[in-house]
Amino acid sequence: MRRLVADACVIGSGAGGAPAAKELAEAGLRVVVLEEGEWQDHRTFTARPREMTARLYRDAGQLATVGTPPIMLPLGRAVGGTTVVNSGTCFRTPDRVLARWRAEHGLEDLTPQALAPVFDRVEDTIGVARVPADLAGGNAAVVRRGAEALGVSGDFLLRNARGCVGSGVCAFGCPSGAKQHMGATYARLAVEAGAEVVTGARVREVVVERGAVREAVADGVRVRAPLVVVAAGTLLTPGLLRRSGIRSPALGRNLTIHPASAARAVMDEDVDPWRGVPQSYYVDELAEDGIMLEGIAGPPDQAAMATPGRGDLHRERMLAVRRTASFGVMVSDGATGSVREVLGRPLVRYDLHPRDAERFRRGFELLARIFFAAGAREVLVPLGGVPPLRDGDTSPLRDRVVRPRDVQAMAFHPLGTARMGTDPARSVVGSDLQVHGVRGLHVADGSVVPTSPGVNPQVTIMALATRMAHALAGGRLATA
Amino acid sequence: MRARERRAFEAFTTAVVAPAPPLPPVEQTDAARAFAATLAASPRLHRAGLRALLLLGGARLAAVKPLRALAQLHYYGDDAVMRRLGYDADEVVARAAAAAHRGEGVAAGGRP
Repeated sequence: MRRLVADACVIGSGAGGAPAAKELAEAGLRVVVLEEGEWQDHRTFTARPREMTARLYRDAGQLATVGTPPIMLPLGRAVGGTTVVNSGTCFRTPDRVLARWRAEHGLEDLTPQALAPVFDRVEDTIGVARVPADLAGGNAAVVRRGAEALGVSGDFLLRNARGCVGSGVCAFGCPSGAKQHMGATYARLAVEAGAEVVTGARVREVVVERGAVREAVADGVRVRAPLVVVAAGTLLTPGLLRRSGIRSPALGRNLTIHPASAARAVMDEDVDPWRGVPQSYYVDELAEDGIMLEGIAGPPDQAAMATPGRGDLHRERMLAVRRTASFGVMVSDGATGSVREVLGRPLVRYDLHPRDAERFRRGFELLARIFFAAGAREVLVPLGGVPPLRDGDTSPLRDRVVRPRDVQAMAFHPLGTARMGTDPARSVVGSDLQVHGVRGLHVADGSVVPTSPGVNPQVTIMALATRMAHALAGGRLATA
Repeated sequence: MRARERRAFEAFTTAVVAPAPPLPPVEQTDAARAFAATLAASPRLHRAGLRALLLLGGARLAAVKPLRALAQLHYYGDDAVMRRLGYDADEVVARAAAAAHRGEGVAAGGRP
């Protein structure tokens, strides 16, 4: 057993852990990062989703919720965590969401003004920029054309990429190294500032004695430190805290996941959905109602899983995949889920709320109108009982009552299972991200996000971790 | 994967994707080999469950959406199948490598 001594031990190197490690190391602390995954070299990425899913995703991408409907919940496992395999979309936490956190969770200091310099710092570090039209791809061009014809609000997305050439496989490892994920940015900067990253280290427990954290124990290594930052991710952090003796009525509960689904539209022209940035455009016409439309696309093997039907029908649709656009609907959900550990693995319970099923219906109705306005011949909507839509007719969707079990969804943003707040009965950590009642034990990952933000959360998580690290290091933003 | 499991997977996948020209039969693709790699990367419980389901359920499993998706992923992930549909992974990698060589992608690769 290797034994290390540090000022801070950070567990996990994703959107929360890597920024925390970098900021603490740059402030002069001796930092050790424990990461279950390995460093990934973009020069070994193959642009083949089938192969890269087995390599970069936890459980080969087979993690799913138990409930109605079952929902696939893919997570990355690598230095950089899920940021290695996400779409790279960057949003600041919306002001209306921060206002809700202040009003409902007592997080008075989370104001847009207070967070602005933190967001600036994060965005500068990961190279956030708007997708240029020439890289957005044919898929986005279809939706943009339809949205503009209808006068619907939309724009190209902001992403963390430098030198992107539109490889089209963001979710399966960027082969050009353009994506500025945590393993390519914050984790490396942490190492440059003196941090040690121990890979292949699955953490078993955090030792807490007399109300203060003492050390983290992983396979083959123990790290004694007066400060431990748990950033194992929304689905794994609750289990680790429970194994470490932390008890809280909110721990493992209040899970939101941003359930998402995608419609497909058969066009007359070649779309080549694998060319360009897969998630490059969004429609926020219904954002105030918790509904976002965002691009999703990929190579044929990824498209095959999302193409409805089987047998001859599925094959004929796949033969038209070059002419098929696809676009997603993402719903800002209520906190209906939970996670607990069973046989050492996370068991995720989640039932889609009927209100959120209705949001899918509304989102798909708008999306179908957009597709038809762009010239679609046929629109396929993954809601049970809704037939293929043709001739611009969206009435089968408009008139239907959609039940949760009718929705075919995936989810990419688990949040909230160790949420922050001022009331220990309703939250696990305070606004400083310290676990209530345990000195030196902090949480900095998606689990602290108190409610669904309605937008891709990676920048929110990075900003909260950055803010926490600066407070721990003396309260001021260090000069970069 | 044992030969019997491979045959069961190929029969199941054939029922799901119904290959016909211009797409090749499942046996002429690397779907089974790739599925074996996925099984190896899967959690032990999933691995055992998938193997048992394939052997016991056969083509009837085509009605189960998550299993259908696995068959679709592994068949349509074959390089020749993807090229037939217009996607060339090698071309994507070559273009990315050329961009990285020009210094357009600035992220360093791998362990620092």
